[in-house]
Amino acid sequence: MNNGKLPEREFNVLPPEIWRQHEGKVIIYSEDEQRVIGVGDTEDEAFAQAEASGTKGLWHIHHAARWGEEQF
Amino acid sequence: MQFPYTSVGPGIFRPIVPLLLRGPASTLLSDGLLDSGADRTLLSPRVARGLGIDVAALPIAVSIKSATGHKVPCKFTRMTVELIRGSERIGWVAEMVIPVTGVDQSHWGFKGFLEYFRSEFDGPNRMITLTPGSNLPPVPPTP
Repeated sequence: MNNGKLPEREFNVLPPEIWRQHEGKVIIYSEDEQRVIGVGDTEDEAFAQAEASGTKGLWHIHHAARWGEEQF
Repeated sequence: MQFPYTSVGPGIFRPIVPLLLRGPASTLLSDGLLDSGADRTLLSPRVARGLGIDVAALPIAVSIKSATGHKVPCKFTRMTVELIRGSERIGWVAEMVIPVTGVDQSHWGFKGFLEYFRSEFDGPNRMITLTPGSNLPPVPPTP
């Protein structure tokens, strides 16, 4: 996780080309390494994977929708 | 500051906004639904722990009824948060609630977020515009 300087670039919502591969899951994406470092059914599972990866820097958390599944 | 809606299905778009959360131990970027129907800004317990917040040590402060009708006890915390688009940054100190159970997704609601912005939900152009008000709580200078 990040303790210092942020990567110098745009921060957007995690794009569909990433989250569509993990529909319905919690995703943790490394903004520094620009790759997914944790995926799980829960935030606990995704964080455990991300922590096990040993990846430092800024982590980006996203709850991926299921394409076409509507909510209210 | 403008953010495009996120497409989540055929003809379905959600106002999801990335927010930088600065905790006592680390900084995380979290995508959350900008929810004009939520009275408060909710931070999931796991994300709070990831930021270095000792959730167990915080007292129960408020009980909130969820969309499913269940009352969820919540704890309070305050932290610096930031919206970032290109070179533009908007930071403020936000009051957030951490649900003890039943919620594992962050939502950006009125208290702590929308109370500080004029918000335009532009459906035809699928764009959210957030304009800070003069009540935006300033971020204290870093020592």
